Amino acid sequence: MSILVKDLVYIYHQGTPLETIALDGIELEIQTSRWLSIVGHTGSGKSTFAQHLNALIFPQKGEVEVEGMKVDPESKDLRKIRQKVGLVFQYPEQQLFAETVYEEVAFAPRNWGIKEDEIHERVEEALRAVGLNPSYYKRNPFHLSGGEKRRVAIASVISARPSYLVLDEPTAGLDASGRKDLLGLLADLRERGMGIILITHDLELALSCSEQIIIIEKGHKLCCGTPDEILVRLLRDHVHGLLLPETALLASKLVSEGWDVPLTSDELLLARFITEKVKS
Amino acid sequence: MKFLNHLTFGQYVPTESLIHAMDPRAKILGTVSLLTGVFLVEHPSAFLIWFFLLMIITFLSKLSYRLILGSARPVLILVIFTALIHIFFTGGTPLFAIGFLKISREGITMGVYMGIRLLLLVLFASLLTLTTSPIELADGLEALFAPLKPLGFPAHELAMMMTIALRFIPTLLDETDRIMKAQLARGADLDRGGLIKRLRSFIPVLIPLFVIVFQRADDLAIAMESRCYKGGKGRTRMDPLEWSISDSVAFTTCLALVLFLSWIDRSIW
Repeated sequence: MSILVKDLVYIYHQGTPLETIALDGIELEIQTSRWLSIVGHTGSGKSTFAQHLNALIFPQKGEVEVEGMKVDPESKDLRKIRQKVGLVFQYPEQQLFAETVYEEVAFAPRNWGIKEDEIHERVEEALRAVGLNPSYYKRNPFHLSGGEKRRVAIASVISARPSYLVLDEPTAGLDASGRKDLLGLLADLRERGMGIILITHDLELALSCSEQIIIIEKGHKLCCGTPDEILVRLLRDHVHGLLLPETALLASKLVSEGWDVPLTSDELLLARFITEKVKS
Repeated sequence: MKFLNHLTFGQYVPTESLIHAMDPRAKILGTVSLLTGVFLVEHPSAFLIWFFLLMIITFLSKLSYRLILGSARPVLILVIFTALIHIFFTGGTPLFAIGFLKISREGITMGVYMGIRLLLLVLFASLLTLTTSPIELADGLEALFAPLKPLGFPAHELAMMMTIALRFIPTLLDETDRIMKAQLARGADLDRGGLIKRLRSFIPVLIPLFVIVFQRADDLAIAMESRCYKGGKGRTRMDPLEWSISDSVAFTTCLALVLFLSWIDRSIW
């Protein structure tokens, strides 16, 4: 079971002076139960790509297939595709509308026609997964803190039990502990078999948690590989707008000075190695 | 579900053209005179000349015809609605009746005229906003209203309010599009069912939109205050507006065209 993307092209405001090529020939296969990160600077086309996976926009050229179902405006499977692929937009707390946290989280399963008994079970499960206890159920989502609102918004997507979860810049605006909690939650979901597709401009974040990374630049797939492969590649070729972790840059400088330093995305391993070497 | 990413009404498209380079005051006055001309039309053939004029100005502005015509799309329903209201509710010699609705020859004429007038009005107005940046537009309006300032007319405040409103049209459309997509991704069904069901299904879009609008208004007010904005009193400009000969020529041409076309309309046809 996978998502297949073939030669995907998308152009905004085609035929007008505002014409912008967002995606230009993207090819990709996304497996379930994997953590894939799509990395690129602002305006590289990654958010446009994310919206194709959820059938919110449709390929102008090329194909996107979600578990055999084609993403096409004429397709009868559009709702099935949206149910399979959950999409958490950037600043998802801005989409909250219900009077209580419970109603907000129950919104998606209710739309998908799930029975009321099961909805209760799903809401409980989703709120537990994001670390919110039953005391939150009757609270007004607009009265919660920024981090709590974000958790409610994510719970409202995972309550539909999607096979894949696409998150567009999910850590934007979160503090260090909020960011750590969120990554822990995503790792849990990944353990339970959900495919995680993280859209971010933060290379360090992607290197720290992904199994596979794709770098997009100006709508093109620049490179694809494991975090270690990507790190080695990016130390060699600079990509506009992407900042490498300081430890990786230091390791790279040490290598150029003739030191035997392993170039890996595991920051702890690298930092420990560098500290030991400097001490010795 | 059609999304809102093709809307161009109220947007500015920068290109290097004769129209873009004009003084905003000349463009505003020219547009007002052209719109007056559109409302003075009496003979249906004259509308063709006005459409032709619109095409010429579009050509000079180096914008695509598709872009200009596309800008009328959001108000097409309003145009049709206005035309229908005039068709059904204008008195005259009845041609035929559907129930209590009576359709007269005068009604059909008035409906078609009003529909086309409204369409031309939107097209000329969007030509102005597509070729004039919101800041230029505000500066132009402020300068035109300036003579009324001694009478207590809030020229600067009015121009600033208009600029903000125009500036936020595309932003709010983007926000609406984003919220609609977010709710569709959560299984919302926005374009099915009867009228009541559809209206109800828009609640998850409207509530977050209102929250965002108030938040943005608040942020904007704070941002303006933090930059010491206190209205137009004592305010100077980095780039003062300059009325050149070409602006006089353009405005006079517009005015002459309106007078000439009105004269032909009334005396020849």
